[in-house]
Amino acid sequence: MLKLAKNNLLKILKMKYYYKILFFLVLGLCTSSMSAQYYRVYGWETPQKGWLEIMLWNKNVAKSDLTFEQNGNDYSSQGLYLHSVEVEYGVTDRFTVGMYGDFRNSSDVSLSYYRFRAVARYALFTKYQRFFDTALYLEYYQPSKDVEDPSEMEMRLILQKDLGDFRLMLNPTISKDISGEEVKDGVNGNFFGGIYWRRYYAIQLGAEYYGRYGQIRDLLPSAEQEHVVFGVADLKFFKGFNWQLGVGAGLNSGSDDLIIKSIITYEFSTLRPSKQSM
Amino acid sequence: MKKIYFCGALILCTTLFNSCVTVSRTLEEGTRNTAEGFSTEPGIPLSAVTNETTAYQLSLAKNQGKAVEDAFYYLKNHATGEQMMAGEYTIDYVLEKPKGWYAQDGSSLTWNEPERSAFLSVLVRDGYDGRLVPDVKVTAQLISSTGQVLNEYDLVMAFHPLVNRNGANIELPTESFSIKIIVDPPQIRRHDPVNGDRYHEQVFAQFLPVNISESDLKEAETVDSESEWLPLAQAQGRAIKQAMNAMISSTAMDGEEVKLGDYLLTYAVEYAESFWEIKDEKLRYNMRAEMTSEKNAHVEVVIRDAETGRIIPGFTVTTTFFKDDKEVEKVSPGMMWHPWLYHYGMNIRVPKKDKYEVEIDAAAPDVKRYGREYGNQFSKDITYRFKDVDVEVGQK
Repeated sequence: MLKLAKNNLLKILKMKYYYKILFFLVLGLCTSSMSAQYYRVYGWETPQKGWLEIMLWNKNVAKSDLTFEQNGNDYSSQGLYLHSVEVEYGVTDRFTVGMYGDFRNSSDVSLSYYRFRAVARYALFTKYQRFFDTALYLEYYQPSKDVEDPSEMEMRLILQKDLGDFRLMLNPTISKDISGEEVKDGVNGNFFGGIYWRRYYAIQLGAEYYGRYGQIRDLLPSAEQEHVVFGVADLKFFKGFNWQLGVGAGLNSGSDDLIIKSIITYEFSTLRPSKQSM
Repeated sequence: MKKIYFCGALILCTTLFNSCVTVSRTLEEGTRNTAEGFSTEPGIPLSAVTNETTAYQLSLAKNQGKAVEDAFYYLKNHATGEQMMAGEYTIDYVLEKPKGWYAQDGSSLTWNEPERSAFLSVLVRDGYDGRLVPDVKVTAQLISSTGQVLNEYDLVMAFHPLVNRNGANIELPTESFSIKIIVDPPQIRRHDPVNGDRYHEQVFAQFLPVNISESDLKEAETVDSESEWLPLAQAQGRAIKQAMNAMISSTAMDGEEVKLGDYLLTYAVEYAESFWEIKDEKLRYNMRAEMTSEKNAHVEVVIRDAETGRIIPGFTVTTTFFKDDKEVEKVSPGMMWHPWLYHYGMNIRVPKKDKYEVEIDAAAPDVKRYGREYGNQFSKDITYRFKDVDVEVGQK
């Protein structure tokens, strides 16, 4: 049995990259063990000019007392699956743009598209020049018409610091609803952060924290805020491929109790430097 | 609808046909005629400002290339030579009198008398900055007027008094012949995410026929007085020294140069960095260094001629890092292409940011030394330990 598994894995590793992409897209969609928020802490590095990053996000709320809204109805978040397909492209070595399509399903709701996202990231300065390697991240959320959520803008300050084999990544974040009744609401304050042990290439372990506190000028009661911690493992089986698996636990009643996430990334050069007009 | 299908089929066929034509090109096809002969279609290689190089640093590379080109023009004016762009290179050839050379023999050098009837040398230089391209494999074919290959020679990189270059003593044909230079790309790693994507294909340059006999040949480097050519050799060394100073003062975390007999030995340490490498016969960018901390620094070594300051080819280098006399890392860095300073280089792992001792060992270079007077050097091995080397850890 083990030999068979090993042979199959070897076959996968020998496949050309487009088969690899297809394989992992299918794998991601079939990962059934995996609420409207995604969990990822961003680092300073961006794809290089001419590089394309394809990402498949999956999240499963394994245990929760919370609800989510669709078509005017509230459904239990427990058993909710979120799936997101993302494409990011390196416009320059420092500037990258990307688009996401978000989908979800649960035992009560069939698989449906519910949101579009557009992102832009810009890396400032040269690495290690400042105390923190710093980047800016801007994201626009446009929900589908079946969802009553407002459109939203989010801005993250990305701070990264290498400490030997550890990497600290902090994402202080603000977000603002820009449509619907919520437009009159103030700016929301969030904080995401993670620390990762990068000693080995093939597997890297980390711990992450995600906190959403409500409006900065009128913070939610602590019980209604979201505080989630994740244990994550980044797996790299071959060049350009990264699979982040994480298990998260909500720390208060405003958070889902148990969350499983999977982020599969494949990065490849679509336009190598010698083919670009300089 | 039929028209659409027809147009689609036509476009498909045209595309396939064009692909076939491209694929089936031989070395002789896809060429450009020049006043000097014909060659692989020339194309200027990359020269972008990146995280590895600034505009000023690119100018340092050009200074080095200019000094090498000046040396070539000196040779051309004092012997027989020509120049042509081919692919990403500028290819220069020089025909001189046959040359003798020193070869390493144990711990000393043995002189070998000139042989055959001529010395053919080739400078393969970067098409953008003009520097000599390290690690290229150069083959010369002497071709008759009927297209027959009369002789073929491997031209090997060697130390020369004026400018290092690939060369060999050859037999001159008795009839008119043209010289065809074939260059296989270097197999070494290349720094720089953008500029390192260069030297992909085999290229050639075939110069117009020459009608030259043994009696026409000259000896450019030794017939003239030393005062004429030595400054040209030293200008190359100064240009490299300028780049090395920039490396140590503005890019590296630490670095130093010492004079050891015939040698100038320099080290520098930087953060671990990604590079281009040949894998499965293709040039690919290896980003592993950026994605893990398994390597956390990069060591660089340059060994130069103390007399002229030029880089000496042909070393096998070992660097060993010590902390409190205990060995913590040992690597054999290979030659690396770099956008403005070639060096022996390799990513390493040290336990932490700290001060270390770095020992550099290199056997005497495995190259011929041409020149009766100036070739008589570099017979000693190198061993030197630098103290208090500041190594900061990280990935560039």
